[in-house]
Amino acid sequence: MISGMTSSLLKFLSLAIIAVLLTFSTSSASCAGEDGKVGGRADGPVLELPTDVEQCIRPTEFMRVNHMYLLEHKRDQTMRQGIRTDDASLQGCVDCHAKKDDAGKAIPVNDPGQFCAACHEYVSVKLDCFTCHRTTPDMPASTANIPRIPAHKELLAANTPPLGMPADVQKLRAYLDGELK
Amino acid sequence: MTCTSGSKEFIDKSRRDFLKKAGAGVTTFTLASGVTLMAYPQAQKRPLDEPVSAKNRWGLLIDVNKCTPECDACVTACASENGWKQGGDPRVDAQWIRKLTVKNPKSGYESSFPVMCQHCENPPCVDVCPTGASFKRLDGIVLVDKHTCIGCRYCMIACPYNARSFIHEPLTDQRPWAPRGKGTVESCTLCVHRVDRGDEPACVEKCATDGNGALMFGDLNDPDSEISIRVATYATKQIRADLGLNPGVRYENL
Repeated sequence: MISGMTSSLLKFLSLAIIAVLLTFSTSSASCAGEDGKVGGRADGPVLELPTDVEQCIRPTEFMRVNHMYLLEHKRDQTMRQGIRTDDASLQGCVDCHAKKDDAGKAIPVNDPGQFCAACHEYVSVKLDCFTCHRTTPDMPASTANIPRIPAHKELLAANTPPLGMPADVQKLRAYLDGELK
Repeated sequence: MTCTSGSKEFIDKSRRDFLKKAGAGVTTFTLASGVTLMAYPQAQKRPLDEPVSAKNRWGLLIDVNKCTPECDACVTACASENGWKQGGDPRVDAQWIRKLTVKNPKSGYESSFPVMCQHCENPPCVDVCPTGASFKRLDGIVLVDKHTCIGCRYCMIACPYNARSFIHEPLTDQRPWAPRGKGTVESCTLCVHRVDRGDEPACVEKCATDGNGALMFGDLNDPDSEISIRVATYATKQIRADLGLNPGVRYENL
């Protein structure tokens, strides 16, 4: 009888210890979130952003969630309708976001750890753009007079999307069809 | 009309340059009192943010008499513009444009000319494509949308001009305006990126400067364009016109 009571007390104590440990570990995880880790869960990739431009073509929060819809919309417009504005072109992304190595040579954006690859690897999304598309900036003499990197600030002023918009594809399409030419 | 073909070209070219400079409005010159010269501009250049339309029908006119067998300026210009390579394995090399030399066995007469995608009005490659990747733009340029191409190569079989190539190997360092990748089909795009910004295809430009000026590019729908006037004035042929595909590429003196 006594030995039975001791074992149930031990069980209660061990459960209590586990509960305390769990609470402690959860609170430490949420602290990590406040420290700026992605999603407050684990260490996400740290991206090095271009320093020679002030702003991306849309606010960073919008681009993080919606860049693929912008690219897809632009892709169909350019391919099928011949609309070749600078806004939201994949080459525009590459021109800004490809880093240079110490020798001044551009590093492909899909190399491990680079701008495109870092996040896509982290979230296990296969990146198929660069089977066909160029991964480094390229400005040969014949096209040097054509400005490809748009004035980001002006673009942003002209196309300010509703901030904090969820990745609702239908809503986004309406926005793109209405405002993104 | 008494002027020779050479002087007509001169007149047409200077007229075109004049109209380019004249800009958008109607230009009026007073030659003498009561006598005015009015110049109406050609169709305005399409703004970059407007979709293409069926108002234009882009085409090429190739003067076979001017084209010489030893010249391949158009082929090298196309390769460097669009980033495809020659001189590798001929079984798998891409070939957007090639020079053909044909001989009449009875007379022994030889002629040489380039053949590329003929940009048909009724393209068989578009008919057979199972995914809709092979398509014709409203302005008549036939393209492959590599985002939806699955590399089945039906279009290569359907094309009577053997104009399309398949990419067998992984590629890097493509031209930004000409994405190309393993597992997709490709062909002459009529330098669509240049046409969209109002320029001529690379082959036409190089043929004029480094070749013999045998290629002419223009809008077949515009009755005042140089190419339309020439097509209306001289006898021109389409290759395999019997198929009823109405190619946008025409040959003179073939």
